[in-house]
Amino acid sequence: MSRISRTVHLGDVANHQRLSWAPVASRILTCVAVATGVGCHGVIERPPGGGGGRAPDPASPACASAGPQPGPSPLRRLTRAEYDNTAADLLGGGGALPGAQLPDEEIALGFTNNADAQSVSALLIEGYENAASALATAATADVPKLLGCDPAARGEDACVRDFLPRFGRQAYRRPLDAGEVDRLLAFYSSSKQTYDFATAVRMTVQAMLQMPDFLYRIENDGAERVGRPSPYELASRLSYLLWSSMPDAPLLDAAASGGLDSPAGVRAQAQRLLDDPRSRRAVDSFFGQWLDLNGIAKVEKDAALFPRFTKEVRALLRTETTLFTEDVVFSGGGLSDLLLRPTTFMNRDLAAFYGRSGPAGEAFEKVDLDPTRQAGVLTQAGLLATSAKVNQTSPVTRGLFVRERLLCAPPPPPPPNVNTTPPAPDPALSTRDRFERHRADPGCAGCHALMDPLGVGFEHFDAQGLWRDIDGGKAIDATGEMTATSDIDGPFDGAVELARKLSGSRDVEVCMVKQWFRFGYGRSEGDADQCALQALSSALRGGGFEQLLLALTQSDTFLYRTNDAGGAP
Amino acid sequence: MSLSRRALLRGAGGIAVALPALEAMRVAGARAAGTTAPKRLVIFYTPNGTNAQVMQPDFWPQQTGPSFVLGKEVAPLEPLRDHLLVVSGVNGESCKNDDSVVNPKAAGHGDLHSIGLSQMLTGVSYIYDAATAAPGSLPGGYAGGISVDQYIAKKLASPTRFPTLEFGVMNATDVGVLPFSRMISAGANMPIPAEQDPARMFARLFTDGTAAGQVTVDRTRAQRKSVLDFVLAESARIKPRVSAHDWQKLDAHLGAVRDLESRLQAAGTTPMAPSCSAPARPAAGGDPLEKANFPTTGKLHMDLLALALKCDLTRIASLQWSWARSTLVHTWAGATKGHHDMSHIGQSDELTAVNAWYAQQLAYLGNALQATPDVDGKTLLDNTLVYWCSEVAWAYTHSFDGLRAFFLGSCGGALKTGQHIDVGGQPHQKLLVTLMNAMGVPETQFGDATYGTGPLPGVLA
Repeated sequence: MSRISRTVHLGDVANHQRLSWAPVASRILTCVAVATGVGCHGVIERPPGGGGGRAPDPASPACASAGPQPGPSPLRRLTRAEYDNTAADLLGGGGALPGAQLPDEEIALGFTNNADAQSVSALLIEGYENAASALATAATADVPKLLGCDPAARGEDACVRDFLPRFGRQAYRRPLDAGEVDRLLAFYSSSKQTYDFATAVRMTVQAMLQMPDFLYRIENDGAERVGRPSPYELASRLSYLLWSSMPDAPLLDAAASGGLDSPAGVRAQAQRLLDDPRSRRAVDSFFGQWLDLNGIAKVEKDAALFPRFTKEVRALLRTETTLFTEDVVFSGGGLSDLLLRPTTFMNRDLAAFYGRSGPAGEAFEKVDLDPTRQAGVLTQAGLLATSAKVNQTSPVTRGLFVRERLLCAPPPPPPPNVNTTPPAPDPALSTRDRFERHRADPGCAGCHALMDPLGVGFEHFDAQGLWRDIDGGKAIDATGEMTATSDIDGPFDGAVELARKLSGSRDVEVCMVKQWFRFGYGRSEGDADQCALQALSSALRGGGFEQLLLALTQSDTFLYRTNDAGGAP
Repeated sequence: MSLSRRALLRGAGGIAVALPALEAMRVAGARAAGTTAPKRLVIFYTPNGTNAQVMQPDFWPQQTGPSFVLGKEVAPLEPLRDHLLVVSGVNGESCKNDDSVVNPKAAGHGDLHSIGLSQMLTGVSYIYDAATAAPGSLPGGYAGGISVDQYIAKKLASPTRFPTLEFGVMNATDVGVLPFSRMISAGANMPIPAEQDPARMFARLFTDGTAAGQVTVDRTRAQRKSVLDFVLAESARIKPRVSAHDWQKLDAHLGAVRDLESRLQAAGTTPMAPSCSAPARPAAGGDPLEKANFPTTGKLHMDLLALALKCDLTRIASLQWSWARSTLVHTWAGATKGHHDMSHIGQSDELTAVNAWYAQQLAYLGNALQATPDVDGKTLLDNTLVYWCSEVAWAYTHSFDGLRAFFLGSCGGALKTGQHIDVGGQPHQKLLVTLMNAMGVPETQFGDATYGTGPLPGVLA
């Protein structure tokens, strides 16, 4: 992807001379305060697909006549979570999750499933080996059950001869050819001669679990530059997108019988998968990563100031967001529901944390919120606590979250030699006041104008995410200002008003779609994907997240692949 | 000399095999004077540099030569001063080139901490990758080349079961694994994770240690090897099906499988060092990802590291404490603020205490190595080089001038320890060459040689 970069001088930064922004696309601002010579760092990128920012209309002849444009189709490996789900679906659950043995995954673009970021190491391979051994040992604790056959009655070799193609089709997510089955049988036979029947079965399963055909979603290279994945490859694309796991038997059968040969057939299966409870996993995986909530267990607060923010509460906060996002998605909700629905989920202990009564037991129940104060995911304590410091709120971090995760427009970080320690809490000063220097100092203002005026909108929520009315001895001022967007610039008061603005923004819609693109396809969007992104936006706008998920299975990126076909992609 | 039970039990399938006489003598613990001990290298990393500039005595001795005085931050190393070689004046010149304040062409590139970390052991610039940005920091990228420990391991090709061992204490950042988390790399954009869990590391290194257990292990090892052999043979058939691009990734995967298979092969035939018996499993240290367990996890790792060297399971190891730009609050050292934040406030008692705590950990490792006899009658520490490093020098400004270079152990007499040497402004590529030369790899350049070749002057014996 080519990038055009240029440095923009803001000139008189204190007067906030505004740039004319291209309406679409991720951009990183460069601003240099001429007066001080110290500035932010970054690069203005032209939006992918050319300048000017107006995204192509998918109905336009340009999108229609271009031919399928799938973009790069990188090899994807199962993530730790996908490995766990797949192992459980293939061999039955129970026992310690094997994925925990694998090393931490590198994050790229906010997600752990970016194909290019997946690296190989000795620890990873050893982790796979240990996991395969543990899984195979557990599975062969009851050999007849695993084989689906009674070796005593039918004969050991006969059972295995039937088992291998059946099990292999599930493990490799495609039918095995005769040669593959023969070689597996030969391995089983020689192992049985050296050891014994049960050991030989275990070793064979152990081998299959370490094959790249299991660990990676291998797709064959086609003869043409742009081609179709095979039906079985499509089945894996569907199940990993919507279930974070392997295809089930009906999906594999649909692949075998032509059910995935047309976009409509793919969509029908996608609908079935979406309607299955297993789709909750994939949805939660997305939101947990997008909202940075997966590390919430490690978020600590000053125990003297915030004694209620216990480890147990942190786990409950994670559950709250899981249930909320699930509810939004599977009730047909879209962006405005995500950002504005005035309900959430609590159990008794979580309600006590939030200082309200209602739910009586361990089970989570839907509860109504005061819509003047709280609505949507942005006012949930999990997110608000994660984006605050140990002992104080952080308008910068919260504003940065909005700018980066909802607008896809991250400002550059501070200049290298700046002291980034927040000023200590002061009983006589509100947080807003203490961060005043970001506004006043021209060396800071250029970039901080993009963050602080958003983050102060959340000031009614303290560092643990709970409502407060007073800060620094006076009533909280949560007025803020949105800038540098194409459609929602202007003032607002408080988080709910900010959420209302965001929910009506085309920029936010485009960003949301990009995030799902990255998560769904395991790569960043590029020039070839502009038509796909527009179609995905339409789906989200028209039908909410469910329609967006279905639309992810109807794009060129999903229904086609780019092959080497004799040259590097 | 009686043969150990371990020597008797070696061999495939648990069949008792007597070793050739020479091996038997070695296994039984012969320590004839004149036996040469192998050299060992340990990379010991702590984050966020120091807040003392070179002219400030808390960290850097103000005297060169043998009468150097150790300041408050490094006083715990005093009992080991005869084994200590402090080298000041090493600069990360190539790091500066990636710093956009110094070099405007590097605009938009790299957080200085991840720049420092990626260059620290590689001597080359990193692979810029916008996708690795974390909230609030510049995108960076993983190292642009092989790290010196991995390179030395390849060159020496020692007959140890593991070419290298990487130990890590909570290397993931608060938002997950990013370039700040990986200091070891196999090559450009090929970060190597460290084992975070001492219990898992123990299982990697040792079996349950009993004689009966050894028989089971040998049998299991043969089975595991057989499984991996099948996987390797079968996987070779994938190549014609997939694109060249995809095969590159799969080939890297299979290469690692091949390495594991070789290790299994070697484990069946390579005895551990004389006088090494598999230890009892250490007491559980609690969740190694729990911040409160940071000190315990580190100690368990250091114990295992020393043991691994003693048992000749490897000769090259690394220990990474936390991550570059770490925000960890070292409550056990009396700190109340995050490490990175403190490093930008300036000198403070809390920050001094944190740095001194790390010096204490280094002393702990040094003492463990010193307490271990080596095959040549000296101590393990005598034949080891522990390189204490950090990703930046003066943390306050992220300066790369005066990079931390404390060497503990003379590496078999290769370094002149017991002194402080000021090399007067040398590029850190030369430090990496010094490590190579000390370990017996006689090459004259490492990393980006345009910054300098040859070792640091006056450091090698």
